[in-house]
Amino acid sequence: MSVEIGMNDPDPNLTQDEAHVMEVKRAHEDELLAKLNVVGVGVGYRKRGSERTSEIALVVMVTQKLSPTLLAPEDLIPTSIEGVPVDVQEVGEITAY
Amino acid sequence: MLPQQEVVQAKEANKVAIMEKPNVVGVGVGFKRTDGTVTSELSVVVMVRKKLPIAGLEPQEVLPRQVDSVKVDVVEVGEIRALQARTDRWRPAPGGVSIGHFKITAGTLGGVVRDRASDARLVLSNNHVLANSNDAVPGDPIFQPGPYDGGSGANDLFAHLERFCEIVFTTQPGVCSLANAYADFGNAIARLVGSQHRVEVYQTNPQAVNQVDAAVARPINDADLLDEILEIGVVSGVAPATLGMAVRKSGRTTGFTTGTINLLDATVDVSYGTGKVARFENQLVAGPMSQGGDSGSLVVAGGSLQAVGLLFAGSAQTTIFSPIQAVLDCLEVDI
Repeated sequence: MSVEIGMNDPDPNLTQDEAHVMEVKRAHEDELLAKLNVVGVGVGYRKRGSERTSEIALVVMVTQKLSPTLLAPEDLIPTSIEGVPVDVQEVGEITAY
Repeated sequence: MLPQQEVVQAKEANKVAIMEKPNVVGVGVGFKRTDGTVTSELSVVVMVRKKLPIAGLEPQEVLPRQVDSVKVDVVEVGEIRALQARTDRWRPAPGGVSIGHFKITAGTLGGVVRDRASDARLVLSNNHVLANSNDAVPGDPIFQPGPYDGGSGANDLFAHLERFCEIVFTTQPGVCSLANAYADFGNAIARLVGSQHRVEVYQTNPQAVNQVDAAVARPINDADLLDEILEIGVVSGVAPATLGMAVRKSGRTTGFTTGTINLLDATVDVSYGTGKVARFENQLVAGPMSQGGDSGSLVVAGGSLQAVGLLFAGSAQTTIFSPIQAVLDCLEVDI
């Protein structure tokens, strides 16, 4: 017997946590990508320093981390969205090479 | 014990006859090994591709146990190849070596895929490696090694571009003649008044989103394309990416490297140089495991020989690759 997987069924490779963060990420990625220095958003482990934690976060990739005092209010990145932690990670410029 | 000179003489006197035997790839002088341990006895060492039982050999193929009363030690070494760099010319060419469209610098030959329609073996890499970021037509020459590594001319011609998934850019230098005329006019005034600033025209297309940077080329001679990827092996089938998954790749610049998938479902803005930026969604992000020239490398699961992604971009802190299934579907090929 074959099982049909519909478009809206959760990806069987994702944990519930990952699926939830993905949903929130997709709803907010356009506004995040419009902010200064933001080059990417994704679903991943939160980092503390350079250590990876087991907590799943909405990860925002920026070319450079700047102090909030240097940013316009509309370019500030929230620390959480809809209860999902947001982790800002510095990655530099992403280039096709 | 025999002096070294006598052993060397025995080797010199018999090396032509020994090298003529099938399976022999080298002769030398060295300490005899017994059951894996090196003894202090000098012997004529014969290197063979593979040790075979005497029962399976013709009498004239069997190596003597000694020559001119010097013992012969047979050692299995496999095929001996000249140590080759990934930026060299390879025939046949494995995955993981330099390749490129005639107008680009160089990228990586990712591996072999099969055309779903014809079952033909094709070379997998990026659009920006095999199709010059859309600025190419099917049939264009592809060199191995890529032009930056000296690939040019008939001898290095390896394949012809078959097809590519077009990249849609969100930002690129403008081609609108009216806008360019305005910019030229403005820049003329800026020059006149001594300003050091100039304006440039960019075309923007904020809705443009891509899934893959991928292309395939058809080898000129099918036998010149190896199924194997250097330091990985023959990859077949696909594995879905998961967070924390160990992955590896074999690329032109940094060779064999490993990493971990840190982000899933990533949307990223990727710079293509000269003011061109393209947005990609559903991408996978790993830590730093690549550099310029590694583009086109197949990303393979750490624990199996299944493909996970196609590497195409990165930064000092990240490596970006597209899920392999999206690559295969766009190009209508299988792995």
